[in-house]
Amino acid sequence: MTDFINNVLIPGAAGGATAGLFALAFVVMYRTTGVLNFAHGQLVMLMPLGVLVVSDLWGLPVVLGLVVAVLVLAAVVLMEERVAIRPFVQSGHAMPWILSTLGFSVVLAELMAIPYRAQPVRFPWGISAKAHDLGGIQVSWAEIAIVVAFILLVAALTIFDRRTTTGLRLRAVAQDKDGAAAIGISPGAASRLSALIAGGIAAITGLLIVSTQLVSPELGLTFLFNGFVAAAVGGLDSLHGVIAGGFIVGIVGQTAATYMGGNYVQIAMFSVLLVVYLTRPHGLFGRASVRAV
Amino acid sequence: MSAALVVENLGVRYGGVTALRDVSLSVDEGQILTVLGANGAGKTSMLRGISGLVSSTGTVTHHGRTLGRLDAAARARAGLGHVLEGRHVFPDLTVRENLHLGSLLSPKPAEGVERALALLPELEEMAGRKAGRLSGGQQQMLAIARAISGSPSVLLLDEPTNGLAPMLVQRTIDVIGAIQELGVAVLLVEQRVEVAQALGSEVLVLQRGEVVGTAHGTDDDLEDRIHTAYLA
Amino acid sequence: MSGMPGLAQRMNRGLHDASERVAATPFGRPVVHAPLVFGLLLVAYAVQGPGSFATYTILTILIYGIAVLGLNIPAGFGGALSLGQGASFAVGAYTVGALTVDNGWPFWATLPVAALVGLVFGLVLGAPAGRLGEIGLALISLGAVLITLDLIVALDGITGGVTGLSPIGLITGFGAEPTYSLWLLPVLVTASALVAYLLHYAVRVSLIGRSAMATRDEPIGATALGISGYRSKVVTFTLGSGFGAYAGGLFAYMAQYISPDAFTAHLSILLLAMVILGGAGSIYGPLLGAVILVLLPQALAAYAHVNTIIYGATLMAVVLLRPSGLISRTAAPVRDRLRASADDPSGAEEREKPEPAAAAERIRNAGPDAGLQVRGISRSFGGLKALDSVSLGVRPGEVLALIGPNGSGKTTVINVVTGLYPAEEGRIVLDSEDITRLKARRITELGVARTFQTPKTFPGLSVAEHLFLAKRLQPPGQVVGEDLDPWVRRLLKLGGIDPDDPRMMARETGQLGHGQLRFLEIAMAIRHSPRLLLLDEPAAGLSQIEMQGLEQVTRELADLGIAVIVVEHHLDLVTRLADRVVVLELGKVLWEGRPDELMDAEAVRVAYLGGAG
Repeated sequence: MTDFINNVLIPGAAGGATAGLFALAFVVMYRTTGVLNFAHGQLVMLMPLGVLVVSDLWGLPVVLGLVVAVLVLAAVVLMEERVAIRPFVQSGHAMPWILSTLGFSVVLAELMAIPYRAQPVRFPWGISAKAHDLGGIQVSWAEIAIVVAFILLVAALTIFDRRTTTGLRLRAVAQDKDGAAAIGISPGAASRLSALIAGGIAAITGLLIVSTQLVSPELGLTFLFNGFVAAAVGGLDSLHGVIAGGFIVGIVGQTAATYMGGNYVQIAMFSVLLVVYLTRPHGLFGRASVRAV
Repeated sequence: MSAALVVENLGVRYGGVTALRDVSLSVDEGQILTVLGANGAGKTSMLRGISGLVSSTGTVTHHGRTLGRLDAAARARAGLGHVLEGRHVFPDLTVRENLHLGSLLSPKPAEGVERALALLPELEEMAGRKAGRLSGGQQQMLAIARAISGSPSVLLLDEPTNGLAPMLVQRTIDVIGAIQELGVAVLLVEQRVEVAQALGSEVLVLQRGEVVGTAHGTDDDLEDRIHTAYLA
Repeated sequence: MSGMPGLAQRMNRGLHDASERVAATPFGRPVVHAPLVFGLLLVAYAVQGPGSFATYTILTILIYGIAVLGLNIPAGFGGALSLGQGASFAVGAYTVGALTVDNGWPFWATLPVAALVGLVFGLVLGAPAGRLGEIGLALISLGAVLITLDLIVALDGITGGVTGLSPIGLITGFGAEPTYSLWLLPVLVTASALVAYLLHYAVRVSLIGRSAMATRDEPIGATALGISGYRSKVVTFTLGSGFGAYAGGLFAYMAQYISPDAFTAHLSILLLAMVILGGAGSIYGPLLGAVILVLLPQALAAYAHVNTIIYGATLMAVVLLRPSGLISRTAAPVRDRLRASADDPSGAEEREKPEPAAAAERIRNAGPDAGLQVRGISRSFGGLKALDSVSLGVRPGEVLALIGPNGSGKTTVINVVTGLYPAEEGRIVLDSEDITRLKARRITELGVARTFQTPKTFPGLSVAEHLFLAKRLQPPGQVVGEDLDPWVRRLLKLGGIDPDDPRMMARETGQLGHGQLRFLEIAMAIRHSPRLLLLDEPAAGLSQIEMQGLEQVTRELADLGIAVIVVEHHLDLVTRLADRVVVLELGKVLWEGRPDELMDAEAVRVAYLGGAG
């Protein structure tokens, strides 16, 4: 049992929180714009990379690094929203925005490769990933932090979504773009705000995952894909669905890794995605709108 | 009495198709102007052009201010309410939430909601229901109430009686009359002649994207004249 | 939408016209230009030397080109966006690699096996993925790339794992040593590319290819013709994967060494970028995309970062400024002739009249259950009852007009009868056969044709292709026993489409006006040779003359024994054309009777001018 907890449950929860954080950003963006951001992996890495450049390369205080990185990230997010997302908001076709966000990710990754000549770098200020023994159970602060941060973020965004006027406005745009515009809610502004929220999630995700990941401009498509799977499992339009989606992805993936080997993780993910699509195309918590055709 | 809405030479094109050509009209505060026309006459395009949901040529002036390149949301914030064809209520939000969102355009949102509910008290009892679960008629009433809760000075109404049972048609007519009483300039687009008659409003007849005649809702021969226009 | 609409639009227009002109010349035919162009390549190898860098570059373009042509089949023709062509490429490369390195098979055995494995791979992936929407398909195909890479590493006994496989030499016979000829690879690749190009074209002009295009452009319109969108997707996906795997096999021979690094998701994205940049769905556009995206990085090789940034920016620029790609023309030629009449090809069809005696006889002899019987159907959407126990019927030879105000349920009747959405209550019977629960496609196959309020034609297909599809997808056995082509021609002419003008017939319908599309759609419905014809507001927006022509043709078609339901707002047209009128309001039948009683009927006044007064 302890073995199962140590080998599957704890790393699975941490991995699930990572996938869930990606999924959360996708869902936030997708609901208002109908776009899945393929450049999200770069946005996640931008934050730790920015801190490294300012505080490691230039030797300035880490706090300053954090501030600069946040500003750069916000600027990049707004730029991406303007050129690669806004033109395709709720257009009904996926091809254009898949290519535009992929194109943006290629450009961004290349620019991000410049400071360290594309070499992966260790992030020295991350939360410790050293395992502590709690009565036989091995757990690190990094694992606890990412799981807690994930759950708190989902809770905060759900409250924002349900309880604030701005959240209500975003939901209105998600449900009816023209209806929203007719009562003064600008779909463009909603798209910009969603992008900034997703960017904020990326910043937090970035600072958390560098405990176990090296900082590099290419995070790898597997992170993106696992995030997509988590979002699809929970439902692309469901905020709280990402909790279930994230942890299902994490536990299934870790189970496959532990009992079959690392090369079977993606196969397990792929199977999860396929099963969900064929049995519940809108995900566990997502739904087709109740509006008539 | 100043004109609340003045439209000059409005034109709307979709790709190569001209949906609306050179339409000019003007609506005063507290006045109703009804535009009658058959399917495909360009009525909806006209309203969408005025409210900025589609791009158009010509000028739209609201209380003396040219709206120019403002987008739909900005025009709504300027006081141009638009009840869209097909209602466009937010289906997964409750009636209350729909009204609340609409009222945010009002300088005093709470009063906006109050005004809307005073106009359509029947919505009160369904305040907690999801808009998507309402019947077509109820959704229509909600769409009107949502627009009114934002205290617009001009209201564009796109076929509000479409698909409604006769009783609800009468109710809608009464509501439009009451909106007029509030001093709102109403530009109503309709297929049913009787609505214009009941409201006794000024009438423009739209055909193939152009204004082909004017009339008044109290004209005795209105029905025949419109009938001829529909059959042409 | 874009920053500089004027310039971009002019450029787009010009490019489209140019591709239309090229297509009209003899050189526009693949059997003419393909051997010519590929033949010239052989000359180029001879001049530059078969082992030269120039030759290597051309071979790289050709190998990517084959994979890209393959990807164009699902992504371009079928509209099934795939981020997974690199997976097929890898599967093919490893099939060749393993068969060569481990088993010493010759190339003429390994390459066909690679293609076959690719086909199976595509089928296995496409069968579930074909049910998904665009996003689902994109994610599943992306997943396929990731798991293919993992499997390659996991199955290291066959694939060599992370170390890879080498040397992959071109073996010419079982048990033979790899050839040292510098010429075999260039000739093999070039010949393969030629065959792939022609095969890709053959797929495009096959019924499958055209059907896939129709589904891509307008899925509902395609269903109305009886096309299965799912089957198109699976077939195109499978074929595309076969091309990809074959190309991967050639790549293995060219590289002589393969490892997982060569087949990351970036390869799949690159291949998709080539298709989109060149022009998804066009016949030679994707090859152009391959040329550009192979040469561009080479030209910029000296500027490391600039190179990649330009590639990324190109992806964004294409979808922003020219989403249809450089070559936007997607229509393909078709051999099909619209007969003027059975024995008179001279265009004298205007005088052609139906055989009144034979047709009248048929109509008279029709049984009591002949035609369409709709009994008490209901259908609601959300809270709205769109149809409330509607009953109506139409017999062969009869024109039934369905009128009523907006939202009264007229179109819903047509949608339910054609199976677009099922009735919740009631029964629909066509010529004694219960069709209530049948799928839309099955109903079409029984000889039911329809038009839509807004014509659902296929913007990327030519006029001629539309008519060809309608003909090829005709239900078995001509229902009214008459060649309807003369009427098809008359409808086209009424719409201002000259059926004898090849340039007009080759034009993509995305370039046509609304009135032309309306007549084309009706002409397609007729060419489908229906027993039941449903016209949804056919006269909306037509001129007086067009309307009269439409009226006359519709009457004649009914006289041939077709049962016609027409939803219409023009009451004068209804009065002249219809044998019977049904007035709907709020989803209920309000009145039914003869058109000459229509004007006096209180019901019509009520329905049209409002009920409360």
